[in-house]
Amino acid sequence: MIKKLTLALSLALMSTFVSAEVTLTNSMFEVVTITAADGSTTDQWQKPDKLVPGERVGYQVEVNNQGTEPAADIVIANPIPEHTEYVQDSAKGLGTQIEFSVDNGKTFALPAQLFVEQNGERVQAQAADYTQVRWKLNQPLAAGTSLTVQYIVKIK
Amino acid sequence: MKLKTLAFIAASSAMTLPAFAADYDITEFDTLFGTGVSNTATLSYTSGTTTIDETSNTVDFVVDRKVIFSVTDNQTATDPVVVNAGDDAVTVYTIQNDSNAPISFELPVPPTGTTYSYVDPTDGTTVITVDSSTTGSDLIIPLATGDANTPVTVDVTVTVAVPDDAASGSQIFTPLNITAVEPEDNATIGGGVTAGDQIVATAAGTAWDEDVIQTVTIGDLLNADGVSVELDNNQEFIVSASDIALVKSVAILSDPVNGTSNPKAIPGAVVQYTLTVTNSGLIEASDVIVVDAVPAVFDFTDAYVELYTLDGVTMTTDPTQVIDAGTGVTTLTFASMSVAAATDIADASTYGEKVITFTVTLP
Repeated sequence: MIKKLTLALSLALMSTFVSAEVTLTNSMFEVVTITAADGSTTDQWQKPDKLVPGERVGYQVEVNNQGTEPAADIVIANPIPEHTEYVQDSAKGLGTQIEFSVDNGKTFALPAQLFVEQNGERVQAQAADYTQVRWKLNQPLAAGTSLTVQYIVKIK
Repeated sequence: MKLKTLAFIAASSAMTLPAFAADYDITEFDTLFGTGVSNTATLSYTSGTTTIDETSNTVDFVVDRKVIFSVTDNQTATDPVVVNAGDDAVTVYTIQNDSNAPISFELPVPPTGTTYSYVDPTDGTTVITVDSSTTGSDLIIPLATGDANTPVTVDVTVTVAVPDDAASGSQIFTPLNITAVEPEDNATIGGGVTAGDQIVATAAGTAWDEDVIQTVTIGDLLNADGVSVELDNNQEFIVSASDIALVKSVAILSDPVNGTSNPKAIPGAVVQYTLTVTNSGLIEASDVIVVDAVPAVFDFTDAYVELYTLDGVTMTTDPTQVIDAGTGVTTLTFASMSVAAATDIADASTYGEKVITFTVTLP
């Protein structure tokens, strides 16, 4: 009992003294293809309208350092939602190293180093095999700044 | 094989496609409507020497309903298909539900002479036949949803009885026009729909709600009213039948005064009648009996009759002769014969033909 109280007290005190305080906000969009007059296509992130299999959903995760000191070693992770699959090359994040997992987050690696078993053989993992995506910030996040990372999935 | 589905119709510039149409992929319909999709991000960072873990808010949505299906006919021959008068024109249509939801299909009541039959998809064995007197649930085919690897289909056989007296070359169609309707078990669809209602797309401009299932129908399948989903696929048949015509002509071959040079119809002249029977239909005509009434002026005793020929060959059996005692008209009835079928109903040179001639002498 005393131990628990001590722990609670120390946590409460810590929050007063920690100098970096990072919040995390997740938002979703519908990603649609816009065809220009010249036939070229671009993706546009919109407020979702009906979402059915075959359509793409974009997730944006914003980290915001509301503290007074930089936050270091920032790692953002996001599991690919069930019933969706990762859209190749869709993960973005300025100043981050983007890695993926094919084993539900136990290990992460760059796409070229990811392998899965297929019919008893070890083969290069495809985007559809990814279970998690992870962004590691190369630099600490300065106080009072924010950073947004994103990726796209397709509804299976 | 004709296939009517999104991929084909999308090429039509006459249709107004929704801006997102290109994002639909017919092969992807594995995730059932109403399935929840949830996403939460995590964060870890270091402040000073302390490592802190955070969790984001969770964003959820339910997968909406995509209504799409295709109708394919089994025709492999060159269009149109030839069918004999008196036979049935038959087309099998395969309806495939590519929706991520169960869909029922309503058949119209067929016109008299047309039947639809299908195997009840709910038990896989009961054959249901629909005719012009059918009402009720037999007109509704419930189809479950499958996935990209195992689509759910039902075959509907459309049978149209071709009348015995259908004209050769006439067209027969075996249409199927189906309407997607709400199935019995769609309680999860909001908006007050009930089983049997025609499926409608959620109106454009309706606010999206991540917790409510909305309905998308492929824009190209929409009817002019903008809300219904119907498809039909029309198989054309062309009727093949015997089509007999008879032409009679007469020529004077000679007379006793002028001989064969510009002969006149004077007593003793030899007159030749030609009866030409043609078959412009695609079926051989059998038991064709030619009956000819010859003017009373002729005396049809053998003494005057020179020759009966069929296709230039002397007949082995002369026609029966019946002389009307009152009018004196002689009726000749020739033995029954068959007349070959045409090979191309549009080309008279291919018609089947039999030529009868007989020569008589004017008394």
